[in-house]
Amino acid sequence: MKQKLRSLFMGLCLIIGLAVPALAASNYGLVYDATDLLDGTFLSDLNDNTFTPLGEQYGMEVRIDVVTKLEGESIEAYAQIFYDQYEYGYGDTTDGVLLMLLLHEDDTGLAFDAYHILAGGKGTEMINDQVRQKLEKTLDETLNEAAWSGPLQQDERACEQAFTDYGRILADTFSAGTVSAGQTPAAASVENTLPYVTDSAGLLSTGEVSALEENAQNIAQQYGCGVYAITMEDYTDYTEKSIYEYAKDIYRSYDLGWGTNKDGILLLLSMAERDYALIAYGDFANAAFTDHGKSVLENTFLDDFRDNDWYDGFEDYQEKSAEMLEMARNGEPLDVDNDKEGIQLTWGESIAGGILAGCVISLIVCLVFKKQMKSARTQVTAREYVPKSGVAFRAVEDYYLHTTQTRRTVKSHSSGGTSIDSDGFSGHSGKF
Amino acid sequence: MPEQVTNYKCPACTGPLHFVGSSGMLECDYCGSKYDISEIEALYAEKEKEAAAASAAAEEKEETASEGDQWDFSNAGGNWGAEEDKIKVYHCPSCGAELLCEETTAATSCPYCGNPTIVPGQLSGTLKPDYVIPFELDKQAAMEGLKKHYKGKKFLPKAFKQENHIEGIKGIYVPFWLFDGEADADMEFQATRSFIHMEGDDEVTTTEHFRVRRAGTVPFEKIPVDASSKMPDEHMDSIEPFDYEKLEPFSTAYLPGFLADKYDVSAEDSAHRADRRAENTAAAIMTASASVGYQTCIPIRQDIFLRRGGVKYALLPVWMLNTKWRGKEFLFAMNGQTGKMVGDLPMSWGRFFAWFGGIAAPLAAILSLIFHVL
Repeated sequence: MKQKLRSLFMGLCLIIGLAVPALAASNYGLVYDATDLLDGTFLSDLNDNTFTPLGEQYGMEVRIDVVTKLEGESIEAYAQIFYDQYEYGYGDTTDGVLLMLLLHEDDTGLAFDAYHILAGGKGTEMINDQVRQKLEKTLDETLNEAAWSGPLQQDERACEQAFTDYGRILADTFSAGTVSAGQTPAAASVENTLPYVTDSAGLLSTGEVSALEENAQNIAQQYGCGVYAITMEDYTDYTEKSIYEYAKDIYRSYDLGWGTNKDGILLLLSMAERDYALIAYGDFANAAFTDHGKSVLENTFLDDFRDNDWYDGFEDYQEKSAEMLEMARNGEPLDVDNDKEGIQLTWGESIAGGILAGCVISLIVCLVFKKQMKSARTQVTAREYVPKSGVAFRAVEDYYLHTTQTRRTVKSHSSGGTSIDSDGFSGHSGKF
Repeated sequence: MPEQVTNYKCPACTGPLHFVGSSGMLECDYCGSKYDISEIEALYAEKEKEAAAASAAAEEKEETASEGDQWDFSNAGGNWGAEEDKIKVYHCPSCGAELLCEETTAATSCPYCGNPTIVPGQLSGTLKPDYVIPFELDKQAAMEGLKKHYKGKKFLPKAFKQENHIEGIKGIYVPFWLFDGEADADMEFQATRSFIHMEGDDEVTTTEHFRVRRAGTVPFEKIPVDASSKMPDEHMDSIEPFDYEKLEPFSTAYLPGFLADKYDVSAEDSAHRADRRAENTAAAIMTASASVGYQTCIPIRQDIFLRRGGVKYALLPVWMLNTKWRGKEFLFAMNGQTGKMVGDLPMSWGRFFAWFGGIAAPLAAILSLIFHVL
């Protein structure tokens, strides 16, 4: 009984302890400042212009809580208590990220004690070890005792820098395969939780993104298959895997695809090394985008991308995808057997090839004719003067010496169909 | 130096006799009589005996001939100088005209009376050929052979065929050395054979390496090397082979109606050509034997020893045809036994490019269409 009472008392103290600072602090929505000394204008802007749009765009609640005491808890535990107590995070899965910063007042203004980053729901997947390390490495530059040892203005500058970096890195992380600008989680399709066009690398204008997004939505509605496109600065910032595997991770992590089979195709561009991956998932998508079909699809956009003609490239990608989905819906997905266009040469190529082949054959024929013009030649052998049964061999010896073996991998020539990985994806990657 | 020449006359009408390849007999153009070679040889052997006796009697008579001043021949004609050794003077036994011949000429025809003439001394004694292959094909066959040679030559200028007139056609018994011998060859090769099989996506090539040795003796019979410096080697080589089954012991009776030269390249000087052909052939036979069953066969050692045997001297029948076109001489040779005709022809580059374009253009059009449709 005593123990229960003690627990109840401690709980009440904690609630009161948590409540008191809140009452004395400044709350800017997604930014909470228990010190009430930081620049309110900056924090308000941060809430309105960075964290709130991030939440709307990516369905992830991004928060910063600045506290001055931990009520006897570790900062990790205290952050978890805040996250749970105040029901941080979006949706039932409480998707979000919280940066808790512990400061205290000193003679010159504020002094730094510690910080902790806590992720919830899908945030735990997005804030993986690599992202966490990147965050911590960046924040350590400004969230340290030395940076906060000066007057309050210096503290505020350190704070602004840290919070800005925090928001930027999270934005980059979320954009590596999530929702397009302007689309709220609520507006996302019921069939897939993420939109179709994400331009984190900033290759497209807002209007172009909207046009492509609208077109992709129409394709998805018409054929029941998502046609996704994502651009990013450098996928290696987020993974050590290949871009092909990373594209799969994005597809899985953000639950891309249409319907219960999650049919969809994803084109991921990473600008740093001009890498791309094209993957398909789901029975219908894998059937529609055969190995040969993917090659044809790539050829429609790669030439545009190589010319930095991004919008046309994505437009061609969507257009050809729709065409291939239509063929698949009619029971004849684009493949080696039925791709007249894929193997058909252009008139220019045909004529060039015809002229070249014609000239080579003609030259060979003419050289044979020319050889006939010269018939007087010095003889160097005398086979005619060897009696028919005259050659007598006295040694006919064949000695086996050794055996060598060489091996080379032969790329199998697909006769059609789709090569599907064990994880259900098909596709490949390359450079543009 | 022989000053007497012989022509075979018909015992019936004294017309000149020609050797006719198709019949293998000496025939008279005037009365049509035909004579066996042996028959004429016997007749002329008798005549020569009688001529020798008559000559001795004439000399005796000359010694007692009339006295008086003699014509001064000392200033008639100049000295031949260095050419003296190369030019020989004979008298046609038919019309008595002087015949100026090269020193190697053994048979010719009189430019005045047209009678075929033999210079027996050229082909007698140490210079006498061992064999002769009689002509089987006549002048008409040679001319037809040349026409046939022109046929199918796409780049032969049209004007060459139209304007071309054969300037000279001669049936010549060309002197050849026939070399017998053996080549003892001992060669080693590095040989491989490979097998390919698939292991998954890997193409595995298994290569077995062997050291192969072949040694043996390759005999040669009568490798011909022309012994006349006037005959181009390429032409004489290219009209081979001759059918040695029809080699006959030499007789001047085969020569009437044709030209004949004695050799002017010695057997010693010709031997290197026979040697080279024997060595190459022996090496080729060893290599061909070693290559059986292997995909690659590279010689790593080659020892060839020639056991040189006898050399025979033969006259082989060749029709030589020459023509001139646009200032350039064209020479053709036809095997007088087999009819094999050789000789380089002039090239029309205009026709070459016309043919090139004529083939390339429609082919390019058809292939372009095929490439586009497929």
